[in-house]
Amino acid sequence: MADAVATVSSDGKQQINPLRAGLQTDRISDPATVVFFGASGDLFKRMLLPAMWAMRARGILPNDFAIVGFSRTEYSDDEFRAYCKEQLDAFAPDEQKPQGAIWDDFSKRLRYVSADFDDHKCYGNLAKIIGQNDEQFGTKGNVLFYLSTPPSLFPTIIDCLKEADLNPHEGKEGWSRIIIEKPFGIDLDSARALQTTVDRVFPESAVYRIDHYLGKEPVQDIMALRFANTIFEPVWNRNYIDSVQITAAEQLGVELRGGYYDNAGALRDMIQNHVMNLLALVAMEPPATRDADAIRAEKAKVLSAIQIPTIMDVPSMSARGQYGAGTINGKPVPAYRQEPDVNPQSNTETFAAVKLNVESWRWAGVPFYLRSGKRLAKKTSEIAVTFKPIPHRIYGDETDTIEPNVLVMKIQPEEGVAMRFSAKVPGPKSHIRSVFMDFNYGTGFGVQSPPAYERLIGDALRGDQTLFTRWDAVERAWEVVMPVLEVWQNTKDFTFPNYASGSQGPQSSFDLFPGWRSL
Amino acid sequence: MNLDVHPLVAELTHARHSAGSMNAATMTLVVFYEDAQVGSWVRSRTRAIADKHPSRVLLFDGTKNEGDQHAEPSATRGEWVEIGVKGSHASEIGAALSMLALAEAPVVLCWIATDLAADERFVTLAKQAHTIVVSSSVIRSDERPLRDLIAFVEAHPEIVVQDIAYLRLAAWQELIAEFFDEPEFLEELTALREVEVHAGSDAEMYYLLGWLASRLDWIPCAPDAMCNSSGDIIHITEQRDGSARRLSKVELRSKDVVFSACVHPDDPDAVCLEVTGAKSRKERCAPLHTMDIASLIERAILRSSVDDIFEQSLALAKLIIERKVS
Repeated sequence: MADAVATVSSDGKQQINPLRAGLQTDRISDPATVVFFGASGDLFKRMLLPAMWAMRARGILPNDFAIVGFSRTEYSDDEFRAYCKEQLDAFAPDEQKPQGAIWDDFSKRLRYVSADFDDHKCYGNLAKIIGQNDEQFGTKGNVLFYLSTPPSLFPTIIDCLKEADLNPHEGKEGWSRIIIEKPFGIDLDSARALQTTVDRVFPESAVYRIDHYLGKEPVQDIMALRFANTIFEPVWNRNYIDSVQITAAEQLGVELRGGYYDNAGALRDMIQNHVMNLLALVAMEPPATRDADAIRAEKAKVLSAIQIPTIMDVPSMSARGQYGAGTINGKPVPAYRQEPDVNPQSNTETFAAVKLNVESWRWAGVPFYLRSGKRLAKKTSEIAVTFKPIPHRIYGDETDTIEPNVLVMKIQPEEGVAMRFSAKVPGPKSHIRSVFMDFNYGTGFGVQSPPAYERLIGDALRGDQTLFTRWDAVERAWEVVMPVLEVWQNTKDFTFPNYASGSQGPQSSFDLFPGWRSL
Repeated sequence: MNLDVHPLVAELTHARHSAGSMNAATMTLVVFYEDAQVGSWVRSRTRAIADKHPSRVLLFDGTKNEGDQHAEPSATRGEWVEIGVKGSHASEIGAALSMLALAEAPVVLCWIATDLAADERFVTLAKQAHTIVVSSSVIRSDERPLRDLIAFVEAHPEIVVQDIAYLRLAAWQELIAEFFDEPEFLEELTALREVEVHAGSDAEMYYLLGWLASRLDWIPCAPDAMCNSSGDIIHITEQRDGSARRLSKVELRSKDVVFSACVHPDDPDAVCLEVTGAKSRKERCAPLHTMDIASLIERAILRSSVDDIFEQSLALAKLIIERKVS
C-alpha cells in the first residue's frame, strides 16, 4: 500500500504528494532496471519472463522500469524482443498473451547484452545500457540483478559487476540488489567461498537468496496459521507435540537434469534448502513483527538450535535411497542409473530422510523427520504435526484405536490444512474413530495462488527480504547436513537401487521412522 | 404478502447435515436487484465473487414473486439461494435475511437498485449488514443515484456504505497521483488552473472531481469552477462521453504544464500518460488495470474500516453537484 509519498524539493524541503494519501495500490513505487543473467535459459523463458509480463499486465511493476537480458546466445535487441514475445505466446496464460499498447510499451523496454559471462568488457556495455535506461525510462540508477545461470558462474558475474561499478557503493545513484538462485554452494566450504565473494560486492541488505518454495502461498500460510490464530500456539511445543514430519515427494525423475542432479542428490537439492526452510517456519518462535528482519532472525535462531549430528550419528539419524525401474501412472519408467547423463554406477541418492533435534525449551525431545525423494508414489509436499496420545482413555471400545491428533499443512499439489481428530461413531455403543477435517485453500477461496516468482521478484523490487534466506540460515543449514553429506559421499551404498519407482521410498526410511504418512 | 423461507432453511440444513464433509463459507452475501434487464449481469458477477469467496448467497430478486424461491446447496463450498421478493415488505425481507444468514459469518449486502434512503427495504437490510456495497452508476448514468447515496449517508451516519463507482477510480487515482511524485512536478499541484474530465457516467465524474478537491483543498465557487485556499480559480470542464461507468480522459493544466491521462484509442485497457509544456515527460502507456465488478466488491469486502478519503470525496461531490444545480 502506498501512502502519502514524501519527496525532497530543490531547496531541501520535504514535500508530500497529497494525492497519495489513502491510496491502496499493489504497484511497486521504486523505478528500476531488472537484469537477467541467463536470459536465454529455461528458467527465464518459462518462469521469469512470464512473471515480469504478468506483473506489468496487472499493474504491479513500476511505471518506470526496463529489462535487460544478458546471455551467451547472440541476439540483437529486436531479436531478443521477438524471442520474448515468442516465449510469452508459449508460456503466458491465455488471458495474458502479449499484445496491444501495453506489449508495445513493454517490448520497448527490453534490451539485450550478448556476451560470455567472464568477458569483463561486456559489463561495461551493461553499465552503459543501464545508464541509457535511466535517461530513457527514468529508472534512476536502481538495478536488480537476477542470477539464473549455472551456479558455477555466480562468483565470476558478481566480481564483474563490481569491476563495472554496478555494485552498491557510496556515490552511486540508486540502489543495486542481487537475486541469487539456489543452490547457494554445493557444500559448506563452497557456500562460504561464494558468500565471501558476495560480501566483497554486496551488503547482506542487498542480497536476495531465492528459494521459490518460500514464494508459494501455502508456505506463507504456515505463518498465518500459527500466528493469526490463538488455538495453535498454546499447544505448539514439546508438551503436546510428539513429532513433526516434513515431506517433499516428487513423482518426476531427474528428467533432463541428470548431469546436474548426479553431482547434487536429494540432500543438497531439497533437504538443505526447501525442507529446512519449512522446518524453520514450523519451529520458529513468534516474531515480534511481520518485519523481514524480525522473521529472518527467528528463522535463523531456530536453525541454530538444531543439533549438528556427528559422523557417528549419521547411520542412526538418516536414510538414503536411489530409485530403480518401476511404474508411474501406469507407465514403466527407467531406473535412475539408466537416466540420460547419469553415471551407470552412480552412488547419488534420489531419496533422503533425516531425523533432526531442535535443542530448545520449546522443542527438546520432539524429533523432526524430513524426507524428500524422486519417483515416489505421489507428488506431495506437506508438514504433519503429530500430537501426543491422550493421557487417559475413557472413550471407545477396547478394540478401537484412538489415534493421536494430526495437523497437516498441505503445500502442493493440494494447498490447505487438515486436522485429524477422534469422534464417536453414531449408535448405542461408544465406538471411536478418526475423522479428517479438510480445508483446501483452492475450494476455500476458489482461486489459484499467484506464481511464486511474481511474488518474489516483486518483493525484491520493493526491498522486502522476508521471503529470502539470510546467509546465517543458509550457512547453518549446510552445517547441519554436512556430516550426512560427507558420510554418504565417502561410503558407497551397495543396496542401490533400493526402492522401486512409484513406491513409498526405501525400507531404510521406515526403519528410521515407521510413522511416515502414506504418500 | 407472506415471504416464507422455512422450506429453504430446512433444505439447506438438511444438505449440510448429509454432505458429510466440511462446508467452507466466508460470508453471507446478500444481493438485491429489481431491474429485469440486469438480472443475468447480477447473477454472473455474484457467481464470480462466490467462486472466490465461498458464501451463502441470498439473491433477493425483486422481479419475481414471493413463491418463486429455490436453493442450490453445495456439499463442500458455498450455497446459492434465490428468493422472489416482488411486493414483499421490508420487514419480511429483513426477517428472511435473519433466518437465512450464517451465524458465524459476516453479512455483505450488494444493493443493485435505484433508491437508497427512500427505500425502506434497503434501510432494513443495511442495518443487518456488516458491509454495504452500492453502485451509483450501474442502473443510471446521471447524478441522481449519487444524490440519493449522499442523502442516505447524511440520514444514517452510523451505517458505512461503499460505492463501486468510487472504488472503480482507484487505477485513475494512482495514475494521476503518480504525475506529481517528482518534486519538480509536485509544485505544479498548487498552480493547477484547469481540470477536464471525460466520463460516461456522472458518478465517476463527480467522485474524481470530489477526490481532487478533497486532496487539494478546493471548494466549488461557481457552477463550473472551484477555488483553492489562495482564492485562485480552477476551471472545470466536464465532458460526458465514452462508455458508461468509465473515465476516458483526465487533463490537469497549470499555467505552463499540461498533465494528460487518456485511454489509448485502440486499447481500452491502456492509459497513455504525457506531460507537456514548460516541464515535460515523454508519453508512456500503462495498464489501466480496470478491475471487474467482482474484484471491486471483493475490495469493498476486504476493506474493514471507514474510508476517510471516500467520505471526504463524497462530501465534496455533493457540494459540486449542489453548486451546479443551484
